[in-house]
Amino acid sequence: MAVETQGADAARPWVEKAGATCPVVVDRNNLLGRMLEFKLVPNGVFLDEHGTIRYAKYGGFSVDRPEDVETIRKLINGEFDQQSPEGTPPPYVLSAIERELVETRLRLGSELLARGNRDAALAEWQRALEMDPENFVIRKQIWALKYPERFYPTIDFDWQQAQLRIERDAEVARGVCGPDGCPIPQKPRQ
Amino acid sequence: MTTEASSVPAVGDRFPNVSLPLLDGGELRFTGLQGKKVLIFMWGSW
Repeated sequence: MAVETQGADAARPWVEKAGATCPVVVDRNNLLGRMLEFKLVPNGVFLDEHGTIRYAKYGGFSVDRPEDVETIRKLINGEFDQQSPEGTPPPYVLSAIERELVETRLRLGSELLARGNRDAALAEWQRALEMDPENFVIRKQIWALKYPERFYPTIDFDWQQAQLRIERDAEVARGVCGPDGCPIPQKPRQ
Repeated sequence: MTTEASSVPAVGDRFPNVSLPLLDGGELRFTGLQGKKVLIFMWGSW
């Protein structure tokens, strides 16, 4: 499942590159991000035959990581007692109306982008990010639109770290983040 | 659209009954996958 507010065309090159044979859906409006309240990817969620969630790892899930592969192998074998990692508690909690506003701005930006209005789309996404600065689904979508050369054909994680520090400093200066700043996420293990 | 803080599905809960567009047309309804074990991998191009 691709979380892509830029739509299917942003996802397709990666699906082809990976040679994916499983069904691929595109969550352009962050429907599952909203329902499951995740603020980052990659995530792995395992369902049993009845559609019950048996395992969920939000952030850092990789089919290239041996421990994740081993967990999934056990789940496939019906060993459902796998411990799901605890999520990091968010440094702030948005109210229901604030969450709706964030999501509305995210969707409005996607709609504007689909109509070719890139600058207006970025402005809406930026407003959403100001309300939810820990949301990396939003922050990285902004980066992907502003700096596409940093994302394809390879994702420049070192650039992301540097860019994040620049943006965090500016956000702390504007009072978006707290006095202790915001945590810097780690580069995914390859 | 409503979101309630207490309604986030966790381990042991049913996955949300949603459908999303497939990359190459049509749509996938998650409840239509029942009868199979399913790994949902969520990723972005960024």
